[in-house]
Amino acid sequence: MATADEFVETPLAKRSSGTARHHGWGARIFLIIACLFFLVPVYWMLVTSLKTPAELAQNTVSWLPHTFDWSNFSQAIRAFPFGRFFVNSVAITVLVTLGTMVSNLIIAYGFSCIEWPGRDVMFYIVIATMFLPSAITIIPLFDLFGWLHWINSWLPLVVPAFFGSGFSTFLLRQFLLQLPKDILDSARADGANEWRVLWTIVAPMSKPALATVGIFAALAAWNDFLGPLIYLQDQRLQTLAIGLQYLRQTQPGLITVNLLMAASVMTIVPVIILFFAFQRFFVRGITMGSLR
Amino acid sequence: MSGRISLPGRVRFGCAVLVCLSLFVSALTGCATRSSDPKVITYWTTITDPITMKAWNRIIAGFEKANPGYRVNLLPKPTIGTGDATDLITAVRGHTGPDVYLVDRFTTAQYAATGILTDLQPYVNKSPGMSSKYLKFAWDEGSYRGDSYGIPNDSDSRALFYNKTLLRKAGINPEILSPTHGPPTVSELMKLNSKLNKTKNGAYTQIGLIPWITQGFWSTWTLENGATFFDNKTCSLDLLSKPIVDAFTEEASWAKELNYGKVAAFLATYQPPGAPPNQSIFLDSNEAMSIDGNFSIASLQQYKPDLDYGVTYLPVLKKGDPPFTWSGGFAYVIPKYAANPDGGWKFIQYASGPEGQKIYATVTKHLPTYKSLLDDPAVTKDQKFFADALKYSTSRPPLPVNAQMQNAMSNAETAVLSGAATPRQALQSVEKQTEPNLKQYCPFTIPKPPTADR
Repeated sequence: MATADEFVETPLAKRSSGTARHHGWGARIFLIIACLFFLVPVYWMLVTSLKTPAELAQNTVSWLPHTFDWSNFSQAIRAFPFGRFFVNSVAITVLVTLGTMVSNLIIAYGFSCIEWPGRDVMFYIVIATMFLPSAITIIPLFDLFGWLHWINSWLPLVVPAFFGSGFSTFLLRQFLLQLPKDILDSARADGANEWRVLWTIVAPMSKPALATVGIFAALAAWNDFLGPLIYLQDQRLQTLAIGLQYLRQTQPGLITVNLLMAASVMTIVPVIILFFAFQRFFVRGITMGSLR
Repeated sequence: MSGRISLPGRVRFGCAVLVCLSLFVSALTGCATRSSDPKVITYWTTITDPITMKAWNRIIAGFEKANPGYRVNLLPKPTIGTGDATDLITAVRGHTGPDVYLVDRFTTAQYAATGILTDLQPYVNKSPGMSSKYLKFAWDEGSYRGDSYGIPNDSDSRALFYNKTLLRKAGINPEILSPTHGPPTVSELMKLNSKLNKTKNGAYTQIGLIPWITQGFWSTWTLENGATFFDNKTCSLDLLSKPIVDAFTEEASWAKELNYGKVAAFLATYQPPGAPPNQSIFLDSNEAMSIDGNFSIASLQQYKPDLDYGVTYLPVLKKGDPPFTWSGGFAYVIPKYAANPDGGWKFIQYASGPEGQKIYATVTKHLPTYKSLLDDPAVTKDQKFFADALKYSTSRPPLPVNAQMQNAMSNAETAVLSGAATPRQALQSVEKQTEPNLKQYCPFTIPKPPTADR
């Protein structure tokens, strides 16, 4: 416990505090510049989405469009079934996120809050799946889903999320290991079974880590291109990641950069909203895993 | 902490579950199995840009009108890169593939060799004289072991584009590059570079011609030099043959003459890798001459409609060599285990026939492979020069290791241009990488390209 004396400012402390403040400003300026540096591509995408083909042809750096061509957005929407693809992407992302958060919380709880023989060995086996390159699993997974008659449905994209993943389990387990065991033991002593402990005590305390896992899962599902490409064989089921490629994948000379950028802007807006909505949890979730 | 879920909480939870269930149900009901109706055809296209989609829809409308009762389900299947067919490979394995698929024609032999395509020869045999109606090189490119696996759709050809304004500014009369003088040699063009190249602080700001970028790469120079790439007698690659080694040696000398590092810096500044088509050194008048294809005309018209340019034959390596060009394009294939191969063939006949190719060429400004259309001004329009070039054009050899060889050859070319390897060393490395894979398909032979007799 700190005493009041420890907080009395000495001249040395004052000086170092001033230096720290000075360093703080330096760091802030550096971070602002770094932020701007990282924002440039996003800004460039936004500006390009509003330029006319004639202005794009000039190939000179113009930070603002000479003419704001808002029709790029309506043209991009008409270039492929944007509305349907958007709804499909949202639905798949919601289901994957939900499945990831629920399944991994249960698995991580089993690996961190319950003692059972061989627990750690099993955990290492789960972790080892992270090292399996996804490319080599494409054919076996397709065979499996084909055998289940799941091809051309969302099931291959959604159902695996309900069975946990190495990375999310690892992230949540590290978080759950920090929770005070006494609270869980008290609940058990009061007669709560493991399910009740999980849902009424552990889950509410794990919101930051769950939000982190949720955001990672949502981003992966939202941006997934290969999964929808190989499993979905009906345009009514396809997603925005595929739709964007309609505009990008093209023959030489026919590319429409402004339409591609307009569609990209509309595609990343939900992701940005999601990030800002859960930013607080996200940062806490990431950093708390490293406190142990 | 009560541990109980409150009633509103239960209601919210119930609603969430209902929403999830409804989404699940909608995803499940969205399942569409392949139709067993012989009049329903599923077509997956790998070219999905808005202009080409317009062409597909018109072709399908034409087919359905000409064949009442038939219906074509079009599914855009964009790829990760040219020649990629991950979706097709997995779909064939799961027996869920389409009835017709569009492939980059130079990969047809590779997919045929791996067993994911249906041999179309029995269908072709039922249409006597069909192959003679197509450009020979395009028909050959879709073959494997003498059988047709891909029916050609469109094509293209390559030429030298020159910026008349830049030539005049350098005191060069653009007339010297007129096609009436026949094909220029690369060395003649490199001499013009001395007047056209401009530097500032030792760095290029303008170059006459860079002969190893855009369409002026190893394929162009090796094919022009008569390379066959493959020895039918020994069923092996012959990458160390004279035409290929000589072409790489020429490229090395051009890179040395222009200073490869300085050119790389110039390109990084004015046309970095992955730049959109509007960011091109030729469009921006930083390069006076460019080896490119007819497909770049769309960019020129869209982004620089006022550019004063001319087009002539591809430059050749030796004075007196006849006019040369090479072509790529796409082909229709029927994947293995297609639900309706007969329907698929019926659609291919229409789409690759005169009606379909005319629509495709007119809408996309590509060139047809159906020979009679090449004499139709309504189809070739302002691309007559390129259409005429198809009559003496050739294509890359239909090898079952084409995609792998292309990557390895491109790496070898970079090594040679930068001086990291001699042509022999670089080509030996390609052979070492590719030959073992090729051997597993032996014995087989490939058609002889028209340039092989040079």
